[in-house]
Amino acid sequence: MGKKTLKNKLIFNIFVTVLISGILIATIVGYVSYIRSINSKEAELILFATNLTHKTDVFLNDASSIVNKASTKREIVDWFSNQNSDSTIITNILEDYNIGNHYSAIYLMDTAGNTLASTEPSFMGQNYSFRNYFKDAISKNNGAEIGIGVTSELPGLFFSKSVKNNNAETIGVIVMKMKMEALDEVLNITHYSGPGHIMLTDQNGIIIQTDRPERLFKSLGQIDEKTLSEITEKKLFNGIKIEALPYDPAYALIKNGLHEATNISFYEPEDKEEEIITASPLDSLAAFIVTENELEAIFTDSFRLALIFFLLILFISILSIFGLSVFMARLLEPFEKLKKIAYSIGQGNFQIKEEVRSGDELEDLSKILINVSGNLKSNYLELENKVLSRTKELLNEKKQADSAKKAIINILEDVEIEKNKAKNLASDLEKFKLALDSTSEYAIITDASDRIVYANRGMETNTGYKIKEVIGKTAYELWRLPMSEKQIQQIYTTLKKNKTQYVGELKNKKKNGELFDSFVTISPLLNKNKEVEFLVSLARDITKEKEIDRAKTEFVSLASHQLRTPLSSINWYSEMLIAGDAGKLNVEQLSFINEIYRGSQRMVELVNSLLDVSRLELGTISIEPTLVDLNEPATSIIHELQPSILKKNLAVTLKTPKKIPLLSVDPKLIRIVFQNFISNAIKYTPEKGKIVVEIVFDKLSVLIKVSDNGYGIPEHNKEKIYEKLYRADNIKEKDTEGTGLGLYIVKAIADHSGSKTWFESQENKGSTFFFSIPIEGMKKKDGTKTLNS
Amino acid sequence: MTENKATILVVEDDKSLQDAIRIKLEKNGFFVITARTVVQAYDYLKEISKINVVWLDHYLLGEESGLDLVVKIKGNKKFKKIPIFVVSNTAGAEKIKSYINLGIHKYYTKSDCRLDNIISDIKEYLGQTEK
Repeated sequence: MGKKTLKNKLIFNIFVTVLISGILIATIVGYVSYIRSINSKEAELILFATNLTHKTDVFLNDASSIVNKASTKREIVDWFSNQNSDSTIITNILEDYNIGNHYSAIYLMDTAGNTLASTEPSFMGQNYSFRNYFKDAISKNNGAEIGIGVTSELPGLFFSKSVKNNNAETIGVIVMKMKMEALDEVLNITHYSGPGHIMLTDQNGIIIQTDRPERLFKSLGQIDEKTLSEITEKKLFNGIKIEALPYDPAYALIKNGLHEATNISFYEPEDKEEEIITASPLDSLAAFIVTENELEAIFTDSFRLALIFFLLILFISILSIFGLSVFMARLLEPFEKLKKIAYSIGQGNFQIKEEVRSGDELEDLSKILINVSGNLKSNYLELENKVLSRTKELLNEKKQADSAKKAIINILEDVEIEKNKAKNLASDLEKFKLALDSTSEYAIITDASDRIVYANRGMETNTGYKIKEVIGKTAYELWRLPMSEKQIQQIYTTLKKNKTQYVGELKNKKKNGELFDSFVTISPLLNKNKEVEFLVSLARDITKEKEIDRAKTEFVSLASHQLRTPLSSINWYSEMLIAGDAGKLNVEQLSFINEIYRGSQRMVELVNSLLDVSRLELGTISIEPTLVDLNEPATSIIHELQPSILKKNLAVTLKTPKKIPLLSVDPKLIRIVFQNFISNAIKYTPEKGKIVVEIVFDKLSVLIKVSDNGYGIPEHNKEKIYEKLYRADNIKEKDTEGTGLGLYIVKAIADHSGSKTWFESQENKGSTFFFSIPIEGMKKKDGTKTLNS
Repeated sequence: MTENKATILVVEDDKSLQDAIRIKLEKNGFFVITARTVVQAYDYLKEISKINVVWLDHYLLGEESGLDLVVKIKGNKKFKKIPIFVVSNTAGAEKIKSYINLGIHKYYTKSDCRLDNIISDIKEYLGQTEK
């Protein structure tokens, strides 16, 4: 039932009360109607039996009145007076009385019981004086009997009447034997379809007509011996042995003398059920109408009726509960609203939206509550405001006290810190100044507006300005910075936008207008907000360095032209002498000139190497990668060096993969690598030695590998093998042609192009030199020079 | 005899080298004309109608270099078919490219090359064109 609200409680109580009383009433009504229904059923049975009896009586009375009429008929009375007359005529007269063909025989008997005339020829001459109907007719004028005919052996109802002469003396008896079937019409036995069974019994309870043929000529109960012998004696049932049915209570009822229709109920063992038997005596005959009904059928009907009553009342009860609960819900609705209002006030919410409009005391109560809530609200708000303002005051006071306290502590701390800072700063600054002043570099510090706030003594010596002159001025107006707009923009972006250090060369102007190159490092100093507050520049006059560089470059140029020209002269004249252009030379002359020619050739080689070195060292070398098949330079160098190879009878093998992918390298540089590796191998391998040139590709790199089985490098020389002009001890004696520059150049190429070079060597066993290039090739580098110019 | 000989203009500032070239060329059957400046060389080209080959150094006496002479020769309809063999000690990669782009026949580094190698190249060239 959910929550124990008033509504629910009320509904529950009403429900229980109504249900219990409903059940009680239903039970009582059911019971009463059940009893009444049974009573009325019983009465119905009595009525039915009585009606049937009455109908039968009427029918039988009719039959007896026909006999009465016939007994006084002139011809019949006369016939008895003239007994010898023809029986045929009287038989025809008797036949006329067979109304509806109900009679099996109509016959006339004398006073001795002899049958004198009969519609049924077999009866003629028979004596029926033993019959009760005869005896009664003689003694009481009338007789009626039920029995089976001794002659016909058929059951029937015998009606008899004495025939009297004019002197009122009995002269004979007339008998009509009615067929049992004639009763059928009255009892409606053959077509009977009622709830039970119908029987007609004689005074001894012997069933002579019934809708259940198997019971015919059986007695309802056990007949006593005396009566049984009487029946036999009177030949009532023509010697049939009378069997007893187990209806003893009904039999007893009949035997005890019955004056009106009576019900009796008992357990009937034959049908194995409770039955109600109704017996009703006939007036016209010593016989009974007996009906048999199942008690259960009656009870079931009654019970069904009672159940219908019970259920009806129960249904009405439940219906009323629903009606009641709806009614209760409506009745209690204002209570719910009142509860909400009260709850809302309790929660401190005085904005009441609910309102009760029941029009009764509850509406009044809700109005009072809303009133109270209004008052409460104003009181509450007032109080709240007071509390708030008071709290605020308190908080303010506390804050003030706190901040005052903090301020005092801070001041004290600050004073101490500042004192220490100032001390430290002063000594730091002094050291800093000393350091800056003693350096030959010049330093300036500019503020956010680019104005110089500090300059060191180096600035004075380098630029010719006095420190006093520069403070407060901008670097631009002092040095006039004869730079390209692009460079100025680049410096500005680096410092002010990216806020990173700028390192580079600048062109400056001295006070006297003289230009000079400086190498500067400018660092931005950022404040807390990451804004550039100062720029600290340290600069060095590199004019002299530049001049030296220029001199170097000039030397390279000079060397390339001026040194090569005389060498060319020596080369070409020697060449002509050897060729015999100036006349045929003798063997000695030829050998001398050859020496001069070779010396000159070595000189050219040395000059070329020196030029390469100088360019590599100047960093002016450019790298111009193009797609190169490494097979090409390797083959070409081996081919060029063929004379030396043949001279020493060396076995040179080139091992390359079948398919060499093109590699992005500078062809001139890669030629120099092959040139140096292979020519070294030739120089430093004795005659008949073996040289293997290999190119190996893998996923990440390409490896150039030149191995020989020559003199090798002594362990103690390995460290210095890449140094400029260095030659290992063991080969200085054996070969005089080496310059000591080859591996130095290869190392420089590797360093400049992102490649690697190394070697493995064992003295007197041989060496292997490696040069590894990343698979993506050499990186392009712009320079002013290539190596072979 | 001179009519049958190929005429070659040798432009070389160094006297010693010029002599060596001339002697070697003459020994090889060439008619040799020598010049030491661009102006001089261009004058010879204009004066002497039948110059078959130009032998050219880069650095020359006077203001102009070998490149200037090539520009002049290639710019003149009359001379632009004359093959130019540049034999120099100094020209850098850039300059070599410029020479090649201007349409010279071949470039040699003096100190690295034998005279007879260059002369046989010239002969080979002339032999091809004569045929």
